[in-house]
Amino acid sequence: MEAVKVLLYLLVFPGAIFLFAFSTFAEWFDRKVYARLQNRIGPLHTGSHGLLQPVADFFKLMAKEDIVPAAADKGIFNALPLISFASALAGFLMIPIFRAHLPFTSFPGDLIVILYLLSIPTIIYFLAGWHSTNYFAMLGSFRNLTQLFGYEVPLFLALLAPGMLAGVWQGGIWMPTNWQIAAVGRFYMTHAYLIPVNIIGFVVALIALQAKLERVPFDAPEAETEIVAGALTEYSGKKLALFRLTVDMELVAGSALIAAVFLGGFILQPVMLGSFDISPFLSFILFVLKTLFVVALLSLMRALMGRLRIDQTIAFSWRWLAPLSLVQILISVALKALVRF
Amino acid sequence: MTDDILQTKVKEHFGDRFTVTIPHPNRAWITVSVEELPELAKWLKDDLGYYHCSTITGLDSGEVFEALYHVTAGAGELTLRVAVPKTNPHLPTLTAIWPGAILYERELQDMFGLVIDGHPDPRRYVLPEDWPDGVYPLRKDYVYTYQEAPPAKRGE
Amino acid sequence: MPTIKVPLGPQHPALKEPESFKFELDGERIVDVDVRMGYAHRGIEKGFEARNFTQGIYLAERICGICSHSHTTPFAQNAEELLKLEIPPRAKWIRSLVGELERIHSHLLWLGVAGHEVGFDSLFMYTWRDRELVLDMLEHISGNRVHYGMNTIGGVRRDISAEQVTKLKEMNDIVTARTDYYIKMCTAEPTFMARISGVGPLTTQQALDLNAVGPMARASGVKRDVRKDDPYAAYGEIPFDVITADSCDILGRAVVRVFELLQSVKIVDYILKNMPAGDIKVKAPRKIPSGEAIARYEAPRGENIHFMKSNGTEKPDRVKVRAPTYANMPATIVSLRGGYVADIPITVAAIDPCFCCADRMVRLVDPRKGRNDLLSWPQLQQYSRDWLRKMGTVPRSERSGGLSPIFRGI
Repeated sequence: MEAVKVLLYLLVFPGAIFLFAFSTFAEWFDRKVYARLQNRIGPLHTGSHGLLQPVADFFKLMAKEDIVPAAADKGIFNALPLISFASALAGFLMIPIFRAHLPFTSFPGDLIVILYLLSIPTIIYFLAGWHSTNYFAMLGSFRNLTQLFGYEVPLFLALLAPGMLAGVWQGGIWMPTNWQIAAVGRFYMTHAYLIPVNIIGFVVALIALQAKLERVPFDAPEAETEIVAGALTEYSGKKLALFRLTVDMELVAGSALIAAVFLGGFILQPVMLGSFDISPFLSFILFVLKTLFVVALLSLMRALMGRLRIDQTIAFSWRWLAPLSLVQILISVALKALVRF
Repeated sequence: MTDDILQTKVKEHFGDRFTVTIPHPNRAWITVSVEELPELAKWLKDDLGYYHCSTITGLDSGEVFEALYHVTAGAGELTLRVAVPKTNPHLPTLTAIWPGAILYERELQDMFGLVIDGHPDPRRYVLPEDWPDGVYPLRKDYVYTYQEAPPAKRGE
Repeated sequence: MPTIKVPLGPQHPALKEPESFKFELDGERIVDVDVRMGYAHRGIEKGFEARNFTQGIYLAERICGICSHSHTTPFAQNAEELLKLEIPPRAKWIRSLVGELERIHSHLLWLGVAGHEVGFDSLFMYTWRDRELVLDMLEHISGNRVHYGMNTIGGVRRDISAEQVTKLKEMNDIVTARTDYYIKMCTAEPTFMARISGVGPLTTQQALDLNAVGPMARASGVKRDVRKDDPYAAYGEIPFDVITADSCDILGRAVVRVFELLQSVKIVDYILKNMPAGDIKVKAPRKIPSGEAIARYEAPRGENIHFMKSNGTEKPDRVKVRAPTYANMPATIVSLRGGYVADIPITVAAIDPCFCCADRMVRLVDPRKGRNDLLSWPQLQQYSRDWLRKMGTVPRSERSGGLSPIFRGI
């Protein structure tokens, strides 16, 4: 029975199938918001209101010809998309959505683990570009790593700051959340007045997430007009489909992570309707709303700005993002020392 | 640089060596030989301010080749006509005077086969690399027959 | 770090038309550039010699899509000068009107392309949406969005009725309002300005020496505009300003173009209000007496110069066209040196390249076999396949040492 439940969580909800459906939905949402901001319509015909457009794109790419450059290392070239897909999927599984799957996927320190798992795809992109034996791809992968040096530190610090503050005094003993996302979310759900304290961290995390996902204004590693398609230039067919799906999954996982850590998470106490506990459904609705809110903010950022050069991205990250994330940590530490919640 | 100022200045400096003809307002023409070309060009640039070389036209005029250097100081266009014998088609480069003429001289070489002596970069410019040597498309002996394509039949 | 040679083109997402740049790079810095043009060469100068003057107008129009009027007008002006024909004033004003509308749509196109090159797709979408308005205006008076076919030797072919004038005035007011928005955008939007400020420098002395034309030269402080210096059509009677900028970089070129947009909408307004009535053309004989004529025109990209020599027959003896992009190539090379790879697309785009204007020669000969006829499309395909195979796209990884063979040996 347990095994069946675990398999259901891994494969159906909130596992592979749900993630596929939700990340394509999030991509549709992002494209619609971006298009409306540019006075266009966006996807329209595939499925009602274009909802099936990302799904159609995925299946179209799966059916296309798969070309491997002759000078590339076939084994690594073929394995890389699978590894990045797997790590993004594993990362998403750590996000606590409703109460019932928590015993299987939530543990102290899972915030750190999810950050690690979400960094793997970036390294994979670097390796993908490197192994493509194409100068443009190499240039793209160098820029990938350069950008990593810029946003990684602010992103981690900003995401850890709320966790530092969270934790309760119980009977004179400090019970830290131990970097468990579910616990952090629970803390901010019950102490909702503390959410605005993390506003600086929220903004820094959003900007750093945009850089991580390599979207405008931080998409120098993938600049179409300069280096064709960056690290993924030589990928086509099924491998490219998996890479693009990975990008979508990272979008969802990153947005859900920010929502879980900054906006109070999704886990609710049991809410009884008659004798039926409807809290999982409410959790799910909360999850969708909060995650899409973060995705909408990212789309807004994408539509409003041009692309920064790679040196400008790094300069911006180290001059503004990193110091601000440190400021946020200081605020968290100071509050923790001065006030007892 | 109006037309009459140009005429007076040329007469002052060169006397009767060069005559300026003005068939149309703002369009002056001077005929000059290959040897005198660099001297006149330098004087035009330095003393009269003809800094802009608009383009260089090549002409195949039957007996000789002609190179027309169209230059301007802003208002009117002055053209220097140089006749080059077909048996010895050499012209000195004027890139020292008008650096912007570098591409126009390469085009003259490519299309007409006029050899520009002293050009800093005498590679092919517009024709492809495997174009045969000695074939110059804009000469009159390169015949280009314009054929109307036959109308397409139904079903083609 | 030793320098690497990287090709850009002839096919590349950054280039709207094929041309081949070979960059010598040191990391992300450009050390030197070599330009290879000729990919859009079509044999137009030779083609003029085989067609009569009226057919020549149509051929001249098709030198380029965005600046088609900039080629037919000087061609027609040359023929009229040789015929000693004085065209009616209304024809001159209509020519100026279409020329200015063309300038507006070309500058809006450039603004969108510049936005796209720096990754600012929202700007691209907005400017092209507004450009649709201008293309609608042109379609309203000529029936076509590009290649208007307005000119003929002796005047223009279509008149503009009073209702058309009213309609054009309304649309022009909308375009004017949007232009103010773009001026704000170019002078105040931080990410756009960060990408183009200080990039692609060309000092005033370099612009003068290398004979740069158009907004490229005006952004380096060179105050030259053929409409003011050597007026043609109706520009002698229309008041407007020549816009220059001092920053000598791409921001200057963008600012010059945006303010020229403003001037153009004002000129269109002036023309619509003050166009004289009268005939639109005079009859022109088919044979043109022998002579030579030169015409200059301020295309959206710079000075366009046509030379025509006729010999008394129906066909011209020689027509020479020098389009502005051709003149700006040496200046582009200089402005690329020392810059970043990331700035290549925007620097090349800053001259507003129209390579189909710049290349105009035929490649319809199969030189290896010594044939001299027109290749059919399947023959051309086979020719290009053979040529590519010769260039080495068949992978031979042991010789290329791990580098993709397409980028080897160039």
